[in-house]
Amino acid sequence: MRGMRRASLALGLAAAVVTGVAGAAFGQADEADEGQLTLHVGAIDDIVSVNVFKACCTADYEMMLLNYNMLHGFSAEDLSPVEELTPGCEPSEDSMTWTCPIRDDATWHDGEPLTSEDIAFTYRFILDNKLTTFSDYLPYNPTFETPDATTLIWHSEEPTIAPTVPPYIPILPEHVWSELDGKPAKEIRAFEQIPLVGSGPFQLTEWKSGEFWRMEAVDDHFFGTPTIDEVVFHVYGNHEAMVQALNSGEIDFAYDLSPTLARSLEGDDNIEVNVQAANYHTNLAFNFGGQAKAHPDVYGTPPATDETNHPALHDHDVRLAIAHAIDKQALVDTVFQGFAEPGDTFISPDKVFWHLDVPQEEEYAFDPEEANRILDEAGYTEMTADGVRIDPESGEPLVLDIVSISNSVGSARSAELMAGWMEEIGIRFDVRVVSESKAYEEWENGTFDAYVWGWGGDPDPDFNMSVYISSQCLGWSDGCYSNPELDQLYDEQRQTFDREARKEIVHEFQQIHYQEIPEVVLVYPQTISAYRTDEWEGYVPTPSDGGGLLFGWRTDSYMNLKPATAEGPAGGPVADEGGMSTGLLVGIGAIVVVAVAAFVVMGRRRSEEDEA
Amino acid sequence: MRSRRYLLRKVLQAAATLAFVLAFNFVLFRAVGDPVKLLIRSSLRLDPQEQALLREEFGIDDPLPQQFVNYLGDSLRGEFGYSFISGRPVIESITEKVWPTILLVGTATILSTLFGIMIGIKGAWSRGSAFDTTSLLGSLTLYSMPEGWLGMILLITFAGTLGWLPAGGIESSDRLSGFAHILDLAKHLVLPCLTLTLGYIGEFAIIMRSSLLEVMGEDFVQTARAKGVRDKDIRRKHAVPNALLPTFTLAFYSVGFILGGAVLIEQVFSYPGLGQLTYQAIDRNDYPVIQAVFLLSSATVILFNLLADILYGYLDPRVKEA
Amino acid sequence: MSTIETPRQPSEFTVGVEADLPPAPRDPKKIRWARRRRAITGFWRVYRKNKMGMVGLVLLGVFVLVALAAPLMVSPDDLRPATAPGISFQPPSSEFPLGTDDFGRSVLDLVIYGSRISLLVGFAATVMTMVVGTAVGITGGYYGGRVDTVMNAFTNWFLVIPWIPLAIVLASILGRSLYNTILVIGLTSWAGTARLVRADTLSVKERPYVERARALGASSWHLVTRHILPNVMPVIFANTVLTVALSILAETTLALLGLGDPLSVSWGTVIFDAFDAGALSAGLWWWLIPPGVCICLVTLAFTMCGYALDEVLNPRIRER
Repeated sequence: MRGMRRASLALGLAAAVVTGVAGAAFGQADEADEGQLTLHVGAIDDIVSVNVFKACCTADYEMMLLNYNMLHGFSAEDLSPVEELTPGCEPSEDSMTWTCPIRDDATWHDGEPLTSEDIAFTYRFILDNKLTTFSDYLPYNPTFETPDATTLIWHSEEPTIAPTVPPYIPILPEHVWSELDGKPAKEIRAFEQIPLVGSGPFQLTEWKSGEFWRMEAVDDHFFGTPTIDEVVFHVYGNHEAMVQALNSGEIDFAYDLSPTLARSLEGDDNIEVNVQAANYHTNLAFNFGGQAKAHPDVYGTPPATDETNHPALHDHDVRLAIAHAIDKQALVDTVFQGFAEPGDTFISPDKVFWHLDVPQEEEYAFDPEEANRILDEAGYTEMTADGVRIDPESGEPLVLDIVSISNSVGSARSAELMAGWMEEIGIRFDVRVVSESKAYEEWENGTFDAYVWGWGGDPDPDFNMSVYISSQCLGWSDGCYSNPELDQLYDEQRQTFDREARKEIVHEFQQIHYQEIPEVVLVYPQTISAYRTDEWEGYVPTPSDGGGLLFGWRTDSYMNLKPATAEGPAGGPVADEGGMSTGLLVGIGAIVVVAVAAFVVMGRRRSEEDEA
Repeated sequence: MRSRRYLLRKVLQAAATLAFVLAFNFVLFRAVGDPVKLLIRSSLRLDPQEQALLREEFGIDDPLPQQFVNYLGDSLRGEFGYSFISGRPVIESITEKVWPTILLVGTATILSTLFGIMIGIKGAWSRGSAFDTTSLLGSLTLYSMPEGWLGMILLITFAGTLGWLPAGGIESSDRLSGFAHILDLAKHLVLPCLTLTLGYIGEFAIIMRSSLLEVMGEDFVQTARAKGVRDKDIRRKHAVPNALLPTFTLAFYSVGFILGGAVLIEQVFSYPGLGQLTYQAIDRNDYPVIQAVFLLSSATVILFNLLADILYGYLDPRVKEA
Repeated sequence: MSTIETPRQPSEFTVGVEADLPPAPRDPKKIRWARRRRAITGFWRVYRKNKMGMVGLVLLGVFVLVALAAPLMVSPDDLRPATAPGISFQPPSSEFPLGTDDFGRSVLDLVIYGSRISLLVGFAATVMTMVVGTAVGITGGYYGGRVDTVMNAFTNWFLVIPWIPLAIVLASILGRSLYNTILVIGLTSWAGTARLVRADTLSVKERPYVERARALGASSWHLVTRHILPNVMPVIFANTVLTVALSILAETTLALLGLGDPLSVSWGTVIFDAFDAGALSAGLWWWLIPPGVCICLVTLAFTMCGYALDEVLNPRIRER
């Protein structure tokens, strides 16, 4: 009992100390929050910066999506380009000049009108100041012309489809950013403005880093006017805390949950789980060596040796055998608790239009016997004493140095599982877990045989394909894979204007990639969210078939959400909290009084005992 | 005179230690690798030209001694460079995040010292009693408990199952002000502070108990007892003041460790302080931030050790020139 | 995290102090051994009476036994994800008394096997701490003068470097493996030991018999190994016990920060995996609670022994 009292006193004292420290903040009464319809969203990632040129991760892109507009949006069906600031651009005969009509009803949050000049400014700003974050969307040194406020003309030095890819570039207000034009990139990237002036349906008005950021709805946006007044994104350090907040109603939506938690929420009446089709893949990417030869000038000191990888990796049979020895379904079931799909090609299935679905009979089935047969036939018949096959050509045992990345989801666990399966076919995976920065070092020096990592990408497949072309060795390439056929297909698709024709090329590219196995695509992990159904209704998935609700390519959910009818007007959690804090105040007060009294009494009694 | 020399010596020692930490920090982070290379791959795609600019900015191509001089100057001025990730000056992020940590660590240190001392005194005085055995066992248990794990359990119990307290953060987003805001802050502070307090209370209780027992065995206490001075007076006037010294010094020495413990606790409770900043910096390889945190926390520990030494020197007559 | 330190007094269990030796044996080696044996039995007689110390010792014995016998109780195949015996997240049953984890491995197996890694890290880091700390402490204390100033400054430097940030930096430079964890803990904890040992060396050095031996022309090596080290031993020993406890807690902290070796099963990594997956919210208490309780118990065992040692070796706080 005494212990208990002390603990309560500790609580009371803690509160008292805080009161003292924060006493300076004593001020006016509460600002009326009533009637505000606030959507509370929980996420693990904070935004990194309000500056678009620092955009790093999902949170930044979601903020960007809400705060800004782009030339094109993405369709709800298959993420193909649709009207946003322009209904669509028209190419000239040679596809070197594109004319885009710009809508006249877009305005900046500070009231200024958004014109074609802002768009041209943004693109020029990126190119002139060499802001590499977005410059890949503007290939072949384009120039821009604005004959009037509602027309943008895009000139390219070579035929291009860039305007319809479309460029994933938020359009910035010229009247805010022009003063940064010509400044060093560092200064441009350090620019911060809150409230952040954009043209999107919501505006960022408050950001407390590590705590939350607030986005307020804009009236009369050309997307419409949402019912909700604001969205507050709360940052949580871990999944447990986020789920507890969802359970208690502190937040209405929890983004990116662990599979284990998702399972546990499935039975809850007021909580719905949303599983978003994968938008990235994890891979076992082989190293083909030769990093030293590629661009030593760019990266300073060239690596010491030329071929740092295992020579047998150049043998297609070895890669094929490894592919057959990986139980992708088991990876899905154990590492991802079922919240993933077994992988086949490198363009994830959420990119419905571009993804090539490899027919089941052509897939590399999990079949260790087949893998053993392939290796036997290829001449890897000799074994070391501990059962590892020996490469007949180099005489080296098939012991592979596998790098797994500590903060890449599922990397270490997948590597661990694969190491087990490889033993069945006489290959040893020596798994090392390294930090991401260490992994980059290994990658640059080519001092690994394969790594377990992953790739994501835009709705357009261009970037994902670029990873496998020869010129990307030490650029985006995983292990300096080189295949003239793929190089040629990549260039071809870049200048193919017919979407269907381009799709054929992209599919062929995927087909060859799948057969040649520069990497084994392991799984497409899914993103899991959970939301309360008693607060809001009207979430819209993007893409409409199996898509995510928030943190995606469109703002539909935010525009469409309404308070749940069953519950009446929302704001439940806000009201609850108010009630609770009063209760808590009384509770703490009472505890302090009791505890202090107890101490006094106890102290007195003790001195009496002493005297006795 | 003697005390002035003692003070001077301690200050010089602290300065030497700080110099060592500065040098150590420099070497340590040169060992991490070329920051430009890290930067290139971590978030941005930079062309060779831009990389060259960055190299210049980081001063990587300067000779090492020159780099060291620049680094010293910058560190002493509080210029820790720019975060790789957010691009903000590191010092800005740190000043923003340091207050929540001071609040958390400060409150926890005060509470754990206070209660630790009370438990220790009572235990030592009633040595062998039920209270003593229980509190000693309890102190040892708390001392043995991994704080992070304790935090996880408290989080689930109080924020989850019971739903009494918020699951994380330092304040709610409800635009509160005045007393409601303070209450809101307090509500968010309870769990992380309780975890840290419980994590350190045991240590203080044990130290207080041992040191009081030791003092009680000393001659002057025995003499006082023989003279028939009342137990209560012996305790209040002789034993406790003498025994308090090591415990208070320990409290000063411990600040650095509690600061370290806060890294994990802030993460568990999503508390936006230096710990959270550090954790994110590790996660994203944001070396300028890690470096600054490392330097600042070392400097804090040095400062508090100096304070402890001074305190000790002035209060304990036994401390002599060595 | 800091070690529990109380100012230490010369203890009566130190060796070499006795002035009036019993007759026989005459051989100096035998005399030395006889003395040591006597000191140890004397020590054990007092220690045995300390309830807390005995409970700690028994608890410790159980854990060490489990760690040693782990390979007999658990087949390594059962711990490999590819060949896990169960399906994921089975609640405790007769087959899996502590349920299963996400791979379908028995949590009891993990906890049993984890004791090996946790104790290994604890002992290995402690050995490192002791060797470095004792060497630095004795050298400084024995030679005094400039050597001492240098050693002392060095110790003070390492004493103030906050260990978690340093561990974070080292872990990201060195990568994540068991050895690095041990190295990091050892590097950050030797200074406390060095300081204790130095203080004790200083007082032992001044004792008459050491001075006498020196006057008789004994070499430094002889003085250090024959006189100083044996006398400083009790301090080192009591400190060792507490250092193991702290090292185990340090390993846990590193693992919970995600800086442990994810491929080795330690109590810390099991807790990290469980928390990362959201085990408690998902109701999978058997995944997160047992490894934490084990850490708690084993650390408690060490601290209880350490506390008892402290009471036994420090006569001034022993029960009157």
